[in-house]
Amino acid sequence: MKEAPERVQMLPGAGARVGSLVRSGVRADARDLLRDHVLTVVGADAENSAPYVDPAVGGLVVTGARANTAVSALRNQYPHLVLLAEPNAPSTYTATKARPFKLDDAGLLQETLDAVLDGQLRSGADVAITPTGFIDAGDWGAAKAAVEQANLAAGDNILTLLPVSPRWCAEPAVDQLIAIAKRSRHPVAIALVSNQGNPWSAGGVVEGYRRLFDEVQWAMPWRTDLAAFASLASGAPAAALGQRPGNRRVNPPGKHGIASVPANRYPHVLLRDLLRFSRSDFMQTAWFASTEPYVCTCTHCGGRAVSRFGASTDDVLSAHLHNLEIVTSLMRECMALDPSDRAGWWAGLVRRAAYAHDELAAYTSVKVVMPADLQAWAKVFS
Amino acid sequence: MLGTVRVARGLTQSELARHAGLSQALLSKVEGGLVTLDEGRLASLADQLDVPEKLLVMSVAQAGPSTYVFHRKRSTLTVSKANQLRADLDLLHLQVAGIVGDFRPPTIPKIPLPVDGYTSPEEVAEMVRAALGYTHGPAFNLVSALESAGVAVLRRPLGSVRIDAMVSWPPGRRPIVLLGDHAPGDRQRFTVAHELGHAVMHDIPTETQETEADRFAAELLMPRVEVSPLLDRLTVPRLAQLKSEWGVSMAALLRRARDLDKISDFRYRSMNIELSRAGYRTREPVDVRVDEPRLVMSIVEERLASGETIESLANSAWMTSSEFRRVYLEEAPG
Repeated sequence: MKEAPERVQMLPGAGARVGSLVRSGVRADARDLLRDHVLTVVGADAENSAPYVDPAVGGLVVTGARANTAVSALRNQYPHLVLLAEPNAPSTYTATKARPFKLDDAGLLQETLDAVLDGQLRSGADVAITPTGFIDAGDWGAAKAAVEQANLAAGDNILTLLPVSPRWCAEPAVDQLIAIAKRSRHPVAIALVSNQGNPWSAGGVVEGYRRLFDEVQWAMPWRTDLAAFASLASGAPAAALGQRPGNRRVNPPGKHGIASVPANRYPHVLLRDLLRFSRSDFMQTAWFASTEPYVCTCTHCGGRAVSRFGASTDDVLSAHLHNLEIVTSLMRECMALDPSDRAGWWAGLVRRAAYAHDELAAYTSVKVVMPADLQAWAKVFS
Repeated sequence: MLGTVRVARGLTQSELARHAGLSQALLSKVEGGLVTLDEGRLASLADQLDVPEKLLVMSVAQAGPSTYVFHRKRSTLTVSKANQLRADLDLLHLQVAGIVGDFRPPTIPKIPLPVDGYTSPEEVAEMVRAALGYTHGPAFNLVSALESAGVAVLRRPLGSVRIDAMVSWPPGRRPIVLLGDHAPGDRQRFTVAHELGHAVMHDIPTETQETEADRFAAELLMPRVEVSPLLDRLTVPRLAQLKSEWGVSMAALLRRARDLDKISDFRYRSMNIELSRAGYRTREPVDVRVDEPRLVMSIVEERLASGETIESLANSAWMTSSEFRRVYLEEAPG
């Protein structure tokens, strides 16, 4: 961790929050706290990542079974950082009309939604996230129940999580999702839950996703990849973006991702010009096998190859911190803009990404196809 | 109703005028209510059209409120054929009201979709399933269930295979579903459910009405809660098995699997190619029984059995005796 002091210099000081609305003993409204922030969803990397998060535009969402404990520890170190603890409901529990939330009923008394939310806030989370289970395609009863029951929870620092099948975001179901989300009195977070590859690649999802964030006044994307920025460009006031692939995706309960290769530990590296993540070993063997690799000038790479990362724990962490720095730079660019200018900014990035793919193909003499979701974003924002 | 009857018979003004020995200009004025016909010409027209004279002099307002007619058709259906079938349905409302009267008034709910989309067609279908008495499992005998709920269903040749069915539900009357007789059982069941969706949800045409009626039909025939677990690891043989169990086409089941996120878009496309290669896009394996309507015919039979004459029944149905015999007694339609 010897680079840490440099990183602190690079980012305007974790704990030295600029324009902070929070923490003078009174909790701020969730909308005020989250607006114009892109949160990073992290698991075990929370402690290592926290020093590099720019509190002016970022924050952390800690996942995992011990998320509350982790947030509690981080809160003491980073009093001004936006911190949330995500309940692990979407990948372990399927919401129903009768029971939209994952609540522990193993004890003598049934756990209540209020108790779960209070637990997060007591641990130091700024905003409490509802433990909503996975909302399957077409299960309107579960979706409505989640919003209706969350609306009964008191407080202004609650985020109603709607972890939905991507089908909810495509026509014609997106109409109902929009109508349901509009009835929430809390801000809403939309996570796409799927084990069938990239959820934004499914037909009509990108278009519906854009409509959703355009039409619902306070909805933010949850556990996304760079689609976070497309959402901000569509009108979302905030976003939550996953640091590792597992934080960017949610599989339905009992399902595994079809694209996952558990044995491969090489990290996914974010390539800013291409607006995509790519595994380092793939870059080594497919793109840069016979040409000099691209280099990166971020604090963590220092002019070294973007494909250099191995599968060791240190390399993987280093790659994720590289990703965080790039995401942070995008956050700052985006948040510096008036919301009405963000669509044009994102459209420009996607356009340049298309050229960057052509350039990479020409440079490496390897066929490099622009991912389907980026192609869809290009079309939607053209 | 002269104009309605003429269109229902598939005649142009010129054709009818020529057959009845009138000028087309005169016929046009009569249909527009500008001129009243003398008895001789009225009788000639009634004879040509095979309808009672009283129907021709009935005003459209007397016939009852008109409503938008929804139909499940192919885009190649000609406008004149569509108009003919709509006019036919207007006459059918008079016939059914005359034959069935107030017996078994409709009990299915009218549930218009809200503009903001908060209530989905699938939700409406769930409510209608319950109203029809389907607690779980496939909605078999759908036509009987509809008739029990006061919907008149009639099955007869529509004169074109380009249209499967039509429905209309004017205020104050019972809904009527007019089914063609050419579709196989699985398609007919989906068509009935689709038309029911129109009747329950729609009063005025919208851009999305056909998609909404399809979603309604899919949920009515393949309720998500029960079908979704059956659509895991879908194969073509599995589709055929599910078709026999649920009475819906393999194509509809495959689409349902995609809409419920049980298969990816890619798998949906590849399985459609498989179906196509096997020739199942034009003719699917597994026959599904065709539901036969009974309500209208059973009342005709009851009234005749009670001693009522054919002439009297025909009169109440605004039909000539010959037409009544041909439609209800010789062809034995629904």
